[in-house]
Formats: sequence, C-alpha cells, structure tokens
Amino acid sequence: VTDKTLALVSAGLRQQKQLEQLLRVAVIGLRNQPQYEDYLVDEVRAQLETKQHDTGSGRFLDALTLSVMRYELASLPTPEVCEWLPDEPSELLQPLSHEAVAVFGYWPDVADIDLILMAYGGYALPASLMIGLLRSASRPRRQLALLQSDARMRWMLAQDSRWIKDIGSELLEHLDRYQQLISTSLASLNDEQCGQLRQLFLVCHEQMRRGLCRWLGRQSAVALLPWVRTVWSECRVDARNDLLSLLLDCPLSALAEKGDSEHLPWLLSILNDRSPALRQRLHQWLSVLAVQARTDHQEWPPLQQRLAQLNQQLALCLCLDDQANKGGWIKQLKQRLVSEPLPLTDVRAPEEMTEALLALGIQDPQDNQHGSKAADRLGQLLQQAGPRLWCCHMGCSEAMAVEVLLHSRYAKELAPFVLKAVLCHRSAEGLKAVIAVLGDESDMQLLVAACVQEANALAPWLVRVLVDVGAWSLLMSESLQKALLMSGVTLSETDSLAFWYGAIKYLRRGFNFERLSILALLLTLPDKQLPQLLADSGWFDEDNHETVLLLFQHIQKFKQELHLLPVHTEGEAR
Amino acid sequence: MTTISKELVESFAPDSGTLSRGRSIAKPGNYRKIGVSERAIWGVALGSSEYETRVDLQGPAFRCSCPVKKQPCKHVMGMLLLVAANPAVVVESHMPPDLLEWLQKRDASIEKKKTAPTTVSTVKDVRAQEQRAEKRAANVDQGISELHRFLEDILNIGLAESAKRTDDVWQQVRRRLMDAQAAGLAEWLEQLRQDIGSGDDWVRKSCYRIVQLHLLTAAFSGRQQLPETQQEDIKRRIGWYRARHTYVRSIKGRWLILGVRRQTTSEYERQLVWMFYPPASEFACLQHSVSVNSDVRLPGGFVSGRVADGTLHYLSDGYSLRADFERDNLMDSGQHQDWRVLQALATTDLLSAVTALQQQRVQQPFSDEWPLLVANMRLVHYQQRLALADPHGHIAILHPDFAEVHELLMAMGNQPATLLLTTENGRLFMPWGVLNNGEWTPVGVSSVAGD
Repeated sequence: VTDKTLALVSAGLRQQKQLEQLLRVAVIGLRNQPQYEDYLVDEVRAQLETKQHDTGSGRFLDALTLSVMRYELASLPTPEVCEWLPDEPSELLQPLSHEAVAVFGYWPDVADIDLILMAYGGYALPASLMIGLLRSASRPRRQLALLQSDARMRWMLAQDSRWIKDIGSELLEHLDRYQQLISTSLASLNDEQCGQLRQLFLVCHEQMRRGLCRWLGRQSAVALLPWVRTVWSECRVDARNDLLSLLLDCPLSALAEKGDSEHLPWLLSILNDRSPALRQRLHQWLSVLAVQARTDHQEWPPLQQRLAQLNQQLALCLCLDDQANKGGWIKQLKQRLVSEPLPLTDVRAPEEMTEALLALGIQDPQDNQHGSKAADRLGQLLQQAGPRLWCCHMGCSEAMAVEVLLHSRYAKELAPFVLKAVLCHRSAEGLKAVIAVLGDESDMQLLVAACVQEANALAPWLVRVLVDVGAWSLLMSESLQKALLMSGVTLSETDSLAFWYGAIKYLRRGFNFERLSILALLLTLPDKQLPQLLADSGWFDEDNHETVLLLFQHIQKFKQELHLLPVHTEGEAR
Repeated sequence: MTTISKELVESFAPDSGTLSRGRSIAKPGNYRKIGVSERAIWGVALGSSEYETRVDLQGPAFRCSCPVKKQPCKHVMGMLLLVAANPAVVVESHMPPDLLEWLQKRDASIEKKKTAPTTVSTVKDVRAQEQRAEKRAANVDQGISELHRFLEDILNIGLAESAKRTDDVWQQVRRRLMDAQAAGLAEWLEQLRQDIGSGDDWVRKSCYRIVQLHLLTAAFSGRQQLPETQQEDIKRRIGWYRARHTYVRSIKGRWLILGVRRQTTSEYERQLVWMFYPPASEFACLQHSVSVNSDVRLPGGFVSGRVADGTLHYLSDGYSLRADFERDNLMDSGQHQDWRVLQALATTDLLSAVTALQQQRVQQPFSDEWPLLVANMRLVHYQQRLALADPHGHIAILHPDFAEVHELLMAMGNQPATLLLTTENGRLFMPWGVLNNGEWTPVGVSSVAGD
C-alpha cells in the first residue's frame, strides 16, 4: 500500500465523515444546529460563495445538494481486502434424474410431501426446490430439507452468514458426516464409524436426529440393537424415546441373536428409567414381547415370569361371574351381538395400586382430572396384556373381547387403551372390532391419532388391516396418509384399486392438490386405467381433469425413483 | 421451421388461472383445423361449443369467438401452448377468410396510424399552443416555488420532526403540485414522504431524494440553457406527457432480453425489462406499468434469457435508456443466438465501468438505474457479506433489496462469470443475470413475466 493510496483513503474517509455530519444537521434541523460550515469541503464552500441566497435554509439546501452529489459522483470502487469463496465439495447423495427434477418444477404445490419422501429416499433435493423451500418454508421444515440438500447447496448456504444464522451452524457443521453415514447401512459400519454415529446422535440437532432415526428404522434389527445399547445410557430422554420407537418394531428373534437371549437382561435393566413416560413404554414393550414369546412357544424365564404376572393381574380384573350379564351395558351389547354367546365376564378396575401392578410398570397418572384412577390402571393393564390374553380370560374371540370392553361400564375410559392395545399387539381382529365400534365421526379423531402415532412401526400391517376392513374414512385422513408415507409404504396395485373405489365418496367431499399428491404417492393406480378411473370419479371438471391426470402420471414416474415399499395384502410384513 | 416457445406463450397469460386452464386444454383432441403461417396461428377450439381462435403474430393480437372478454383466453393460450409443444398438430396452411379480413383490418388500422398527419396547425393554433405552453410553464414554476419552500422548511425543522407531520401537510403540497400540472414532482414528493423515517438507510435516502428534487427543479428553472432533448427529458420527469411516437432514434434488429422484473403494489403493477443489442453494445430499459384496477395487463413476450426481433425506439437521447419496443413477430426464426457474445462485449474492469457511469450521472443525476455488463466477476466474502469482485479486487456491494443471493450462488458458484448489474449510485449493485455455460441465467424472483 503506497502513501498515495493511504492519502486517498484517508481523504475519502474524511469526506464521508463530513457528509455524515451534514446529514445529521438535516435530521435534527437547521434551526436546532445552524452551524454547519465545518462540514463543508473547500470546493463546496467556494461554490456557495458564487450564489446569493435569500434564506439560510436555501443555502443549506444548496450546500447539501453539492455535498451529496460530490460524494455520490465520486463514489468509485476501490481495491478491498476480500476473501475468495472456497472450492465446492464433492457430492455425497444420489442425484435425482432430470425427469424427477422436472416434476418438482412443474408441481410446486406438492413440494411439501415430496420433501418428506425425499427425506426418506436418500436422494439429494434439487437446488431449485431447496431455494423455494428456503424462501417459503417454516424453519423446522427448512432444517429438515437441509438434511437432504446436495453438497453444492450446502456449500452455497455456508457462504451466506444470514443463512447460517437462520439454519443453525451446528446443523451445517455435521451435515457432511451425517450424509456420509446414512449413505451406507448400519451393518457395514466399522467400529470407528459406529463411534462417529454414536457421537453424532448424541450431539446433533433435533431435526438431524429425526433423520438419523428414519435411517436407523430401515436397518436390520440385528445390527440396530447392539448399537442402541451403546448409546442408550448417554442419551437424553427425548432421544431415548426416539430409540425406543425404533426398538418396538424389533422381532422377538432379534433379541436372541446367536441363540442366546443376550439383549433381554439389558431390557430388564433399563425398565427403571428416570422418565415415567418412557418407563411405561418400556414395560409395554416387555409385555408385548412376553405375549409374543407365548405365541411363539419361546421359553425365556424373564418373559414367562412377565406373562405370569400379567395373567395374575388380569384374572382379578376380568373374572367369570354369573351375575355379570345383569349390568345395563350388557343389554345394549346383546342387541348388537347375535352370532356369538356373550361371555359371562365382569370387568373390574383395580381400586388400589398394588405392588404387583407397580412391578408391571403401571402408574397412576399425575393429572387425572378426566377419569377414575382405577379405570386408568385397568386400561394400562389391558394395554400391556393385549387381546390374546383378554380372550383367554374371557373365553371368547379377540373381537368379542374388544366389544365387551368397549361396552363395559368403563367403555369411555378404556377406549384409548383398547385401541393402543390392538395396535401394539398387532391384533387385526381386534382392530377391526375397534373400528366397528369407534368408527363413527365422533371417535374418528381418536382412531386417527392412535394410528398416526403407531404408523411408523406398524405401517405395512396397518395398511393391510385398514384396506381389508374397508376403513376408508380412516384411510382418507391426510395425517394418517402422510404418516404412512413417512414410514415408506405405498399401496400395491390391487389394494390401490380397492382403496380408490372404496374411498371415492370421501374424495368427492373436496380436494386440493396437496391431498391429491399424497394420494398419488400412496396409491399405485394402473397407468392404462388411470384416465378412466379419474373420469369415473366425477370428481373433476373438464379443466382440472387433465391437470389431475398429469399430476398422477408424474408422481407415478417419480415413485419409481424413490423405491417405496408396496404393501401387499398377501405375504408377511417384516 | 419457425417455432414459438412455451415460455414466450406463457408470458402473455393475463393471469395464472387462464394459464392453468390453457395448459389443461392444450391437447390435440381439444382443437381442430390448427393452422400456422408466418403471420398468424389459428384453429377451432372444441369447448362447450366450437370457438374460432385467432392470433396475429405481429403485434401480437388475440381473438376468440368465446364469450370471455379478457384476451388471450384459455382457448388461445391452449392453442399456442399446443403449437409450441407439438408443431406436428398443424394441419392447415391457408388462412380462413375471416382471419384474412381481420388481419387486413388490423393492417389498415396500423397503416392509418402511421400515415396519419400530425396535427395540422394553423397560425392561430400555434399561437394558442404557445400560450398554453407558457401558461403551463408558469404554473409549474409556481408549483416549483412552493415545493422549494417546502423542502427548505423540511431542512429547517429537520427530517426527524418532518416524519411526525400529518399526511394532510404532505397531501396539501402534493395537491398544489398536481394543480400546477407537475404530477411527476408530486410522485417524487410522495416517495420522499415514504422514505423519511422508514428503513435502515432512511437518512441517506431521504436526503438524496431531496437533493434530486432540488436538482430537477433547478434544471427546469434553467432549462433554456440545456439542449432540447435534455429539456424534454426534464419536462417528462416533471409531469409532461410524452407525445406518442416521438422517438429520438430507433434500432431494428435482434435484441437480447437480459432481465425482467415485476413489482406489484396495492395501486399498480410495474414491469422493468433490460434489453441489449450486441452489434452496437446498446442497452435499453422498457418500463411498463398498469393500474391494478384496470383491465389492461402488462405486456407479455418478455422472457429473460430469450431474444426478440423487432425495433427499439429510444425515448430520449443519451440522458436516459428508456425505450419502447415493437416486436416483429412472435415466431422464433430458429436462428441460433450465441450468448457468449456478451462475454466479449463486457468490461473486465469494474472501476472503469463505474467511472464511465459516474460521468453519465454528471449529465443526468436523477434516479435512474444504469446497466453494467461486467466479465470475470466472482462472488467473494466482504465485510461478512457476499459481494462481487472483479479480478483487481474492486468490490461491487449487492443492493440490500436483492434477496436472491442463493440464486446467484447457484448460477456462479466460485467461478468467474459475466453479469448484468444495475446501479443507481455506483456503490450498490443489483444483479439481473449471469452468463453460465453459454446460457443466460436470470437471477431474481420474477424473471419470467406473465404467470
């Protein structure tokens, strides 16, 4: 830097300072600060001398004009110290085809649900879509989108401090490692990478943890269980909850890897978790495993012991009683049930909390303003035991057991527990019975909420049951459809047709493109029949019929890229 | 074979609903007897009835026998989109008689306008005209005196105190300027009112606005000493209407559309189009605005990154780049446009480009935007923000209103590129487009008009 440059810079700064002082006079007013001569450069002062001014403010207006224009017209770029942008990183995610990117461009309305699917699919979100989302989506959604951003997009964001501030540097910091890890399978990670994954899971942002959980949910239970055990004790309660949600879907066999029940002692050891809610879920899981072990004829002492405890407590609540039929609720039930004799069972709620109930993880709710504590205890017990044990005690089918419980004197209090029980224990017969009893509009919210909550663990099974039973009003719930898509399922062609014909009356109630997009993703309608199916629906007028057809066609193409798992009515889910 | 592009067609849509409906019926089964010639596109739309759909490619002009008044209607849009997507749908080459008749009438009307003699003035008329002009100038002088006093008053009590003034005080001065037939000044004054006290940089902006108002009124007062074209420019800014077809010069040829931006307020819609003519390295700026309450729509046909063959008419000479454009024909001749020509014509030195710009501003210091085509610009970090720098490290700070920095990042990455920038003051720069792998990539929200 030469002396001449320094002199120029210093002169420029002085001029800028003087102008700022002059502007300050303009803000506070000439009448408050009449002295401004010191803020004028010599040339301006000389020029003012050549003109006569009638008023002081007229002179100030000229002074201001000359000074501002002098500064404005002298503004030239000067060489500055700046930092070149770093090189762009290499790509980690699989890019989408041009065709799929074109779908995003053509259907901006569906970006929301596409995003969910992209998060599932492990593809890089196209930069054009990301830019749209960054402009309009909520912060959590922006952060979620970022998990699937391609390397160039992340590089772009890292260059702009405003975006870093908005999205959170911690999220950006871990993104490369996150994408590297989820581009492979858990089973193929070496010890060092498992350690990295553990570290990332412990420190990462909530949205990233959600992304990791989605990825972990697609891993084999055999690989998942040991990894969860290494990270469990260091996690906070919300992360432990996420991990438990992953484990609930583990088949019993995975707990006995290498022919030994090595994971069961660990499960028993974590039953006393600090969090009451988590404790309750862990007990529920153990009970589900115990009932499953009974069905599979597995002889594992801790599970057999658990089963005995459950049966013992259940026997006190569901007891044979000749007088049971005299209750008023039975009369109502008799009118509904003609094919099967009513069980002579009375339903009794435990009035006292006992050691035995506590040992099963049953807890009295801290805030129990809406129902009796006794009914709540009974509900928790029933939820743990599940329909297969209920019917053993009641001497009837699972469906009948559900009917009896939902018409008992505790019907209202037990409904959510019965619903959760049939879902957790995967009782298709029970779920059908619950839908038959609770299927009207007023209970729909309860059904939807429970199904949405369990959708991730139960998706393929749940879809099969709901399609079999024709629960179209339930399946038409947007939140349930989204939850099913999030868990990575799509309906087979046969079931999609059944769905389409079954749900048509619900479709006619009104549509929007968001809903259509979800449907288009969830259903696999045969290409050849699609125009006719849409035409037969009577849902669209001449104009939007074409639009809807295009939407379906584009999304069907796009689905092939995402490898969604079609649910078949035949065959077994994982 | 000549073609018409989808983006160009879409830019004529009067609203997004018509465009969407047009897209949905753009299928061969919905039309018959589609024909195309150098001059027109026509066909029969099969809706609830049969509608004769016609497009004059010169102009362009649209006509349909459907009951919808707002043109182009969905039948016209659908037909044009269909032809753009699939030229094979064209089956006719002879124009139907009604179309020929319509085109002849249009030609006659245009010819009549062109050859219509300018007002035949009698001696009496000339004298009356001069008297009216003198009266108007006197009126404006009166308005300017009032404005001057108001500006002095603002500076006397201070901008901070002026911000507290009720709207009535401002409205009163505005009304007087309107009465004095100086609507341009009235609009500038309203902008000053809005600037004071709002935004981060309000002091500088407000002072600059006052200074420009002062300069403009001073220029009007000393107009006799200025060249005639500059006098016209100043009068137009103050509020004189420009007589139709009074252009100072015209250039016919292939123009490149480098940037299109639309702005909608509660009162009006405005469209700004930057065009460039490579053979003469000439820039031009088209400004269109319509009231949101009127049925008139902003003109379509301007898509950033496309070319337009036609005649551009400059409204003034040198002092402003404002212009009107007459397109020859909507059809693309299919002649390849090499956009890399921009790189060769661009300056590689930001300093010399801004220096030249400041010299222009000495002649015309009013609030126009000026374009700069600069090559080898790179995105850099400067004072914790992204900015542009030329190879010598001269910095172009991005305008605070430019919110699409990620689009710029997407188009440029960390590589040097040729850009169109505009600036009002030589300090803050607004990017409009980037030359990217031989293609022109627009940056900014509304780069495509019409949808």
